[in-house]
Amino acid sequence: MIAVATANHFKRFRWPKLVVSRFTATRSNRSAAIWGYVFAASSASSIIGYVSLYKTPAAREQLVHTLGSNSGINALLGMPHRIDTVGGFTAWRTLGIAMIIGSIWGLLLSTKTFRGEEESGRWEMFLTGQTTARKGAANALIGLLAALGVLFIITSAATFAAGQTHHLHFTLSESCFFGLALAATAAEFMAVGALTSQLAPIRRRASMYAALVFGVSFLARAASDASSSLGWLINLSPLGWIEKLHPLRDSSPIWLVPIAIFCLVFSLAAVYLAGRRDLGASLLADKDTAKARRRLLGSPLGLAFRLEKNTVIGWTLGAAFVGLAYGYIAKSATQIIKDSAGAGKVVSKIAGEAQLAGAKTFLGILFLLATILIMAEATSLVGSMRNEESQGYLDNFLVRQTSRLRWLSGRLGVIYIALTFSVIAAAVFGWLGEASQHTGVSFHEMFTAGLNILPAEIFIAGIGILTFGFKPRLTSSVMYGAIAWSFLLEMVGSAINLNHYILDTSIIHHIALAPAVSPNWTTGKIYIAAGVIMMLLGSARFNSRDLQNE
Amino acid sequence: MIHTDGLTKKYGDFAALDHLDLDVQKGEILGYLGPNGAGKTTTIRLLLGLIKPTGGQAHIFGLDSQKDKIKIHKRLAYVPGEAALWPNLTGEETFYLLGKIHGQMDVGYLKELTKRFNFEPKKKVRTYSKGNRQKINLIAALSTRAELLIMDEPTSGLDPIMEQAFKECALEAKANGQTIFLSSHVLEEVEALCDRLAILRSGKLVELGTLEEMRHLSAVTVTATFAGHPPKLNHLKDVKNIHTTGHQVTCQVQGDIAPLLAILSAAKPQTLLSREPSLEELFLSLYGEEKINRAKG
Repeated sequence: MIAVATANHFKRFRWPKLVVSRFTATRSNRSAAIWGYVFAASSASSIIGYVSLYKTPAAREQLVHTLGSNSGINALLGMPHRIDTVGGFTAWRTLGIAMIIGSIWGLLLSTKTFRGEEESGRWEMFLTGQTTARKGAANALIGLLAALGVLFIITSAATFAAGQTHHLHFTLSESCFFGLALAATAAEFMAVGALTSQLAPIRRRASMYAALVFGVSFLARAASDASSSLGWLINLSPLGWIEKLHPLRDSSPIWLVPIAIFCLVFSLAAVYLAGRRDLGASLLADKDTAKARRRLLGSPLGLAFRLEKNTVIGWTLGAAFVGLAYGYIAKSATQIIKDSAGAGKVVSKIAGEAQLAGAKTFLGILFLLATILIMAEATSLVGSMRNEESQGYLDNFLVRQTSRLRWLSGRLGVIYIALTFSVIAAAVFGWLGEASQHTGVSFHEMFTAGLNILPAEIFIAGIGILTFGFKPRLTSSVMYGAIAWSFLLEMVGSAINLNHYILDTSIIHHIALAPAVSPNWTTGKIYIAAGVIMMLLGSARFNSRDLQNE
Repeated sequence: MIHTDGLTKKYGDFAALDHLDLDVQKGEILGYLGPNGAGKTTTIRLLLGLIKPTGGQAHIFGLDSQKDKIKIHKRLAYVPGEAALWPNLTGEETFYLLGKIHGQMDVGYLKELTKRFNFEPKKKVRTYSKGNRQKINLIAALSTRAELLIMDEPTSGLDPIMEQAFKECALEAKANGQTIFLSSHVLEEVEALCDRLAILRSGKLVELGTLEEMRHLSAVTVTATFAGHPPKLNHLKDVKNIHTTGHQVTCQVQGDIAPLLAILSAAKPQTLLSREPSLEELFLSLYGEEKINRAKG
């Protein structure tokens, strides 16, 4: 007998047309909150550090003099504005970081939301509901906006609270304007990512196009800040508009206008184009066929290299760029440290035991930053390995003549080689940068300093492989958690005297500030040993556990 | 060829597979049936060593499926139900990769299969439809000419013409002495191909045998036409689902058919047809009962 459902059996869901917005917001809120806390920590540590280090007008004047005339730092972090005030310094430092991190997060999240969901086939499910391609795209943008709201609330609240505790009396509207500026960095490139997702057939390419827009914007802003003759370029760069907002000191809300127009135009274009094309298609023609290239297809190791080639090249170039940029400005930074007692203290706080204030100390900090960057690369590569399992690609090997350990050793080979490449790239290009300015640090010292951070990378990879073995679904979360924890401790620890037991939990904290001081090879050996042990334990567990698909 | 002895897989208290005892003979096609969640894919993943049993063991070619899986994999080919293939490789590159990993491939047969399945190998995997991606798995597996083919919903996403092509290939493989373990929901396909059937319910093997041996599980359908009104059959205890339309009566009988035939003969039928249950009717009778029991429970 067939049961007939009566009206009483139906549950009617509220707002079915907004399901895409809610889904996108739910999926994006967590990462928005994480970056919100990171920017809040940067903002709070800047306030606390500045108040304790630059107490006198003379010290602040010195800071303005040294930082204001340094074209290298201006290019990297933006033109300092009123850094003789706590608000000006906090805004400059935090926005300088957010303009890079926030923008990249925004574009990656956006391409994941649009093209990533479409590639996975989930978008199709939405479009068979009570929405259309255009309405779905608009809804996804609303969901991303909600995630930006989370970032905005966290950063505004933290800045307001930190301002109140140090009697700086940032008003609520000033704090909110600062939060808005931080959120705007991500908003601009979310809009760009939404548009490039309509143009490119796959997420990776959509991200690449969006990254190209970011790169051009960054270079235009950097060139403008580094050279007065190119000052006009800032008016053409979306990142330049952010810089010109000057939150917390002499705010210029008028620059919100081009930012809003930019976001609106890109978003509207994305929504319009979403309705112009077929599901799964792209506006830019793509080659669906290709000549077979059998190179590297003979083994799991070869395939791992082939699949990860572009990722590895991208990360290596990133490490090389960071090395080159910081190496290039190392000499100028030395001058700042010499000239400014306050800056010297900042550096010595980060450096811990290293009291040598100079180019080597600055380059040591470069390597700490490179450590974090390369840790993110390790997370990406281990996450990619987990993705092979979760998506079922690994089954193709394991049902044929490939053992789990053979497959795993191939993937691990790629990970360790890639990490070594990046470390070497940071060291070699760091040396090229500093040598071009005749800073005076030898190649051997730079190379040794590079090798000094490799054990920490092996350690974080070990954490990832251990998690992959025992709790595969938590692999990326645990690795990103360990990096974020270490990063936050270093940020906060540079400003306040944290208990050493807490500081000891930071992976970065134990890395010697080479080339300022000699590498601590004992610590390095402990990191390598722990990393290798974790890798072996994780591998053994992987070999004996059930495969776990998504 | 395949032998399992009390093979069990539990997730906590839930038994995905419960003491499976099964033998698959060389050269036969065994149909492995069951509703969603019955434990079919769990069985296959245990046989392939992708997951570990919590009890019992499985042997393929006389080798332990957990300890000797590489030796076993050398001699078998697997077709998954869902094709997880690298989206940026072309079909041709994927064939090459899968062949290299497997260790053997009949290249001539691969070309032939590519034509028979009307497959265009120059395109990138991400541009293929679900059915075309499934063709990659099928062609790659069949072209290995492996002794044992383990297939999990192999025709998922294929159109009827390609389903027919698959059936022909499966029968050719059987004629070549290859063994096939076929998990499928397409009952017509199983009925057409399989020598024996194994039916799984809630992780337990409930039936194993040839289709003929299983016919007793379901009722025989009898249809009779009379010049006048059909006789009353309600009082017969083994007869059910009686439908009278004009001068025709249709009913199902499970058990002794003699009392029914006696009454129908006495009423002098103009036509009398009896039909054995199809696999679909068999399947529905097994799982329809389970559904009713669940509803009662």
